Amino acid sequence: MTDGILGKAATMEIPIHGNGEAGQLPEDDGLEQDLQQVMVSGPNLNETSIVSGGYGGSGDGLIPTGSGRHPSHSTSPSGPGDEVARGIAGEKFDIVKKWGINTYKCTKQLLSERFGRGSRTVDLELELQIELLRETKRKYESVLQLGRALTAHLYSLLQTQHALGDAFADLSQKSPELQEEFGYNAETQKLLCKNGETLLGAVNFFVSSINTLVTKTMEDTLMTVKQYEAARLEYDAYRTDLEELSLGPRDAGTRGRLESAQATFQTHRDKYEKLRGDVAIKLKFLEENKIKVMHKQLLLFHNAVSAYFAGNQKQLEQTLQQFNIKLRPPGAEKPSWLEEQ
Amino acid sequence: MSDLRITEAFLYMDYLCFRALCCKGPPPARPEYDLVCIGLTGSGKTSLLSELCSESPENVVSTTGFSIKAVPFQNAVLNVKELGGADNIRKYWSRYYQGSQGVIFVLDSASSEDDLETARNELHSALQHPQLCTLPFLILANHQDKPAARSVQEIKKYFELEPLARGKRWILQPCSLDDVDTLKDSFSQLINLLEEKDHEAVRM
Repeated sequence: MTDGILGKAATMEIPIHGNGEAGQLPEDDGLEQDLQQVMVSGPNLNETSIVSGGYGGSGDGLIPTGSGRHPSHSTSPSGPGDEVARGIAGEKFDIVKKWGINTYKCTKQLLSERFGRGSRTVDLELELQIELLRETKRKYESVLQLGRALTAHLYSLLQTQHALGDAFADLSQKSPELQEEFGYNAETQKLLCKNGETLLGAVNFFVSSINTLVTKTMEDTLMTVKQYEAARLEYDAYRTDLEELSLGPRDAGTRGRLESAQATFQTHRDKYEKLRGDVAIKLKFLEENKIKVMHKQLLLFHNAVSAYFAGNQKQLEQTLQQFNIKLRPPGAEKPSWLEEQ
Repeated sequence: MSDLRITEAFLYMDYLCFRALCCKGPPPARPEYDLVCIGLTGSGKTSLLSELCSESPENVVSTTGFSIKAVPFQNAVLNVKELGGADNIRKYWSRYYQGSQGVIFVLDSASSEDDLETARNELHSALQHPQLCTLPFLILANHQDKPAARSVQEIKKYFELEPLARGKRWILQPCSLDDVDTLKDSFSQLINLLEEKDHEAVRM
């Protein structure tokens, strides 16, 4: 309940000069004490210590997020003379310093969330949709794996039928007394093989389309989801940073830092809001596309399989014509389940 | 006795399967490229891509959102992310640009003056977009089979491609569903540009 309240409050505008609610003070005190235990350094460190903490954080093997991937392009506050003096080395130092600070803040936020103390912005509806997408993808991957197994079985069955047909045809030539009987069986096996190849083509098409849906179409949206989750973490890290500064003493030094923290927070908030909108849109489009693709593929799969097992060659061929699937011409390499790997 | 025969059949199948694995081995994988396909609604994006996929170009409805098609060619597989071209969908195009290695822009050569101007504006926006501006562009002047279709020269001039896209890698090709060979040749040229990019990357 407390986390829920904090989560909802977090999405509202945070006043620059407002103090936290009285109810939150004990929570913040607990948070600060836990952080001092977890982190070597506390929240009131100066910049030099923060940079050291950042390096230490990287040394621990934690994955940095934020500025490492999106280098900051904000102008340096120093004058042109200083810029010339420092040159490229200075620029690189600034980038690394900002990256270190950003990594430190995000790592701190991540750890505080893991330990159940830090507040986390929650968009419950969106996160439920994201979790549903991940679960759906796992299930479609299972269907994909089973589809590949099916093509492997069909392929080996066709090999057997082909060999059996050849054997019967050979014996038909060598056994005049049983020529007709062997001949019938040879023709039957070869017809089964032919229809099986048609079915295999249909199932291969099904598998290929599901593969594209899972590994490309769904992955495209999940890529944006990962960016959104990283942006959410950054947003919460800088929101926490701003809240802590707001609770601190007010003097000339802290006022400047407060204004700087407010500007940085606003940048990360804008990025978070944009990515949240992107994810919402892409989830809708993905759902429409998934339904369209699966409607077609499931119809194809059902029609082909039922026609094959009903022994209805005409209907089987009509199914592939209906979906305009062009089987490879004779002479071309046969579709192999290995190609689907 | 029948159980024994079933067992023998399964063993034989395993043998065949094993032999298939030994003899064949996995075929060499063709390189894959991720492309984005954009253009106004009705320009023919879905029909062209369906034709290349050996799918039916009939019963094509306007694309809402996006769809991804794996388009196989002899020397590469193109994963084409096709985006709907309707007014209310174009504003979301940029959300799908990330990760693209090339761009396919489809325009209706026989469209109205207004639509042609809109297509020009959309192409210019794409050519300047930070996530696309370094990529090779294949610009397809579709519906060349229609009487009102403008020629490639007219389109190049109207779209101001020479001055605007100078220094970029772009191909402008006429096409229609009637001429699949020309269409495939256009894509082969794009694949060549993509392969050049790959080699440059390897060199660096």
